[in-house]
Amino acid sequence: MTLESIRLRNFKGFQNAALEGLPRFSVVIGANGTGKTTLFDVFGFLRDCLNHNVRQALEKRGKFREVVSRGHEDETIDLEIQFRAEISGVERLVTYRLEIGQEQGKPQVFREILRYKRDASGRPFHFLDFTKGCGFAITNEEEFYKRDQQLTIEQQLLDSPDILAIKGLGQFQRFKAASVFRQMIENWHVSDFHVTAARGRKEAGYAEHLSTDGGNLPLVAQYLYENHPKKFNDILERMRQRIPGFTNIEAKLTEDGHLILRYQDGAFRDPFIDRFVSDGTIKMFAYLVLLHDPQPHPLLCIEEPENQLYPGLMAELAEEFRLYANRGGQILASTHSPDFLNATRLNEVFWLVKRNGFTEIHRASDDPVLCAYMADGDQMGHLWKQGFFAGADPA
Amino acid sequence: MTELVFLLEEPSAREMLRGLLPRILPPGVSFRLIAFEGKQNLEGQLALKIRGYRVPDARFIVIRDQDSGDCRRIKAKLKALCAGAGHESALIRIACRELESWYSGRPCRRRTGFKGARPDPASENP
Repeated sequence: MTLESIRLRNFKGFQNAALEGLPRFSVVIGANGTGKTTLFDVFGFLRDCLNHNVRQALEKRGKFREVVSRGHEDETIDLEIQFRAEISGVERLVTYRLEIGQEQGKPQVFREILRYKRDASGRPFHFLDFTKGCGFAITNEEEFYKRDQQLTIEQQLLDSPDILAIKGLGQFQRFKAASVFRQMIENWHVSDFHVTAARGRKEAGYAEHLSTDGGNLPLVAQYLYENHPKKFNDILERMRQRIPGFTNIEAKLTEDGHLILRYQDGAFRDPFIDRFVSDGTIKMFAYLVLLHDPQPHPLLCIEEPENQLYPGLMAELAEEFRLYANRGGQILASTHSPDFLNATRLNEVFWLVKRNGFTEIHRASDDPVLCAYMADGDQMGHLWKQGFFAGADPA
Repeated sequence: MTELVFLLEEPSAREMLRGLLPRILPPGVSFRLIAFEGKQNLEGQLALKIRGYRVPDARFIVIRDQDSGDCRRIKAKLKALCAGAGHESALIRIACRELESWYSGRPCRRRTGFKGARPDPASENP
C-alpha cells in the first residue's frame, strides 16, 4: 500500500494542514519547532490508539488538552489518512478518517470512517462507520458487482467509545481495507538512530528488526548473517563501495554472553571493535540493515538521516532510500542538510512554515519558482539555502 | 510594483542589505536577496538564477567583492554572464575591495581603523 495524503485538524501545531500527493520517498524540511517530529507522531499516535485506546494514546502525549491545537479545545481532533491499496485485485484510493472529541472530560471517538469508491464514477462508499462505540461495517466488501442494498451490513457495538473499530475489525481478513490499514499502522517504523545507543556490547538475544534508536544493531546483524546470508553479503558489498578501506563486519559473541560488532579494515590484520570505528561507518551500516530488512516496514519515518555522515554520502543515501521505495516500501524523512536535499527531486520535497503559532505545509512542486529552477537544472539544497523556500528560514 | 533582485556573494551582504534597503527604497519597490556561498558559487549559479526568475520586470543587481582581483575584469565577466541569461541591463557593483569598505569608507581607512572614516565607495568603483 502507498500513503497518498495526511490531513490534520487540531492536532497539536497542525491546526489545519495537509500533506498531499506523497511520493514513495518524501523529504520534509523546516526550522526547529515547526513540527517535523509531530508529523511523524501522527503514525505513533494512531498506533497507540490501535494497540491500546484513544484515551491512553492521548494520555501519553499529555491528555486531550495538550494534543488539541491551542484555542480549539472545544473542537475535535481530526486525522484523515488516504492510501492506495489493492483490494480484491483492484487498486483503490481508501480514506480513513478519525475524529476525536471529549465528552464530560472523557476522550471518545466521535466518528471513525473507512471509505472508498466502488467504481470510477460512484461516490465514496462507507465500508465502516462508527460513532462513539457503535456503528456498522460491510462484511462482503469484495463483492463489488453487488448493488449497494445487497451488501451485508453488520451492526457492531464496541466495548467502549474510546476504542477504534479497526482495532476490533481490522484483524478479520474479510474486512479488507480495515485490515490493510491496520497492518500499515502496526508495522510502521520510526528511525531516530543514535550511534551511542548502537555502539558497544549488547546482551546476546534475538532481534529481526532494527529498533528505533538502533540499540539492537549487533543482534540484527547476527540474525541477518545467520538467516539471510545473501542479504548480509549484499549489505557488506554496499558498505565496501561507500566506506573507504572497509572490508567486513562480524558479530562476535563474547565469553560472558554479549554480542559485539567488529569492523575489518583491509589495511590491518585484526578487526576493530566498534568502539574504535567512526560514527559514520556505524550509521551507514545501520541504515543498510534497516533498508535491507528481509521483511521491510511498509512505512519508514527517518529523522535527520544526515547526522554524522560525510556530505558526499548524501546522494548515495538518498538513492538507497529511493531503492527501498522502488522495492515497495515508503519513506518519509526529515532533514536539516542542504547536501541531502541536493540529492532529492522536486516532487519529493515538502517544507513546513510556522505562522501565528500553527504549521503550514508547502509542497515544492506547487511552487512555480522552484519548478522553473529545477527544470533548468538547479538543485533543491541550493535553492533552499538561497532562500527560495518562502518562510522556511527561522529569520 | 517593481522588484529588485540582489544576487550576492555571501550572507553577510544579505544581512547588510536587509537592514539598509527598507530605509532607502521608495514605496512600491520590493526586493529579494539571494546570497550564494562565495564567488565560485555566485558565478556558477548567476545565469541560472536570472534566467529562471519568474517575476516579470524584475531588475537584477549583482554585488561581489573585488578582493585581490582586477575589478574591471570581474565586472566584465559578471556582465557577460548576465547578458548570456538575457539581462544585459543587470547592474553590477564591485565592492572595492570588500563590502566592509561600504560601511566604513576607503579600504585604507579600514586598515588604519574606523576612526574618521567617511563613506566614499564611488571614488574607487569604475
